[in-house]
Amino acid sequence: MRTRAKLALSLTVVAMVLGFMVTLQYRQTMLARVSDVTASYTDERQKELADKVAQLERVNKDALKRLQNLNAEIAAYEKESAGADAQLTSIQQNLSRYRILAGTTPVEGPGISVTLMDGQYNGVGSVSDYTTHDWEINYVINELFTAGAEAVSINNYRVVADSGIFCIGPVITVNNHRLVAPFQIQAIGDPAVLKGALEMQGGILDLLRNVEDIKVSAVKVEQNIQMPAFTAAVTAPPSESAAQSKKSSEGKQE
Amino acid sequence: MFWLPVIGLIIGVAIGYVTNFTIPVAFTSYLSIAILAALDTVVGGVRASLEKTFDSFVFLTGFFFNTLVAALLAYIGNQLGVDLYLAAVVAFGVRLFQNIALIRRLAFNKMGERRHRGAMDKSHG
Repeated sequence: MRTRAKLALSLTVVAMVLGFMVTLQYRQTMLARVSDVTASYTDERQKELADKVAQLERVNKDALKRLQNLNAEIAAYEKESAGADAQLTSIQQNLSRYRILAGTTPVEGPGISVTLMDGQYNGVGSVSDYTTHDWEINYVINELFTAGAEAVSINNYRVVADSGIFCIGPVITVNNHRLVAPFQIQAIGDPAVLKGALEMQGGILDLLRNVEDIKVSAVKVEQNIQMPAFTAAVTAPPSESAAQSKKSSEGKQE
Repeated sequence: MFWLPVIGLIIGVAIGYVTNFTIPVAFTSYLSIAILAALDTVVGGVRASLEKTFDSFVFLTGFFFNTLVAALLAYIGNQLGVDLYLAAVVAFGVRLFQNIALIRRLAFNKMGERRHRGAMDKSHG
């Protein structure tokens, strides 16, 4: 009987410790599964840096949200202050037009959308011939702006006057956001005009479809496109160096 | 008397859940080895009790000692670049299965004896 009591007691103690350890490990594993990225960094320094990046991203996101809220507030105040004054109203209209051009406000309206996809590589020639490049997107966007598009976005990132579109390996950066194919290009403006400009015989889409080996979807007319505001640091007003770099990037396009 | 360990297990799990205690990510592999060692000791203890060779002192010291040594071994292996924890996993795993097999055999033997005895009683009665 004594040994039995001892057995039960020691088993109890051990079971308690074991239960605690198992639960701890279970929770740890679940935690690791949820935050897979941070858990895979075993190195202290890497983990620290990953945490820092995550924190900065959070701060960034908050700041962006705040910016959007403030912009909305400003717009509301402006609307209120304009009132019945005709002159003020006209200035207001100009302002909002420039705002749309600058991309500082989210916009919505009818327009078109077209999607560029990488082509199927069939082993002939270079893979690079079948991937979507920066200049191809640039051509489409320039065509759209020329045809009177009021706002253009790529994969829901607004394209404005100082947006840069560059190839970096297989990805393309737009406003320093890295995007991968397929690229959905949306434009707000007169749908018929925009569609016509893109689908013109011998126009840009013809070129992309027939000469370049990438896939281009049919141009779709949409009744209501919603575009977010431009989200990236607005570059400094055109000083000398900015003008220089702009010139060089324009030169690249040619 | 034998519900005590079960209650102990439940209490342990509850403590683990309620307290917000976490260990650094780098140490999780040591904890898993320690858990394996602990499981091995528990199964060994059950087997010993079935074989009636159970000694609570050996059992308790074995439990904590094995757990710590397993974690320590894994740590040393990690420092030396030798996957010693694999050795621990294999050793404990093999023993775990052997002990479980033995327990099963002992338990079935006991059951068989009882049934046999029951049948005998009936035939006598």
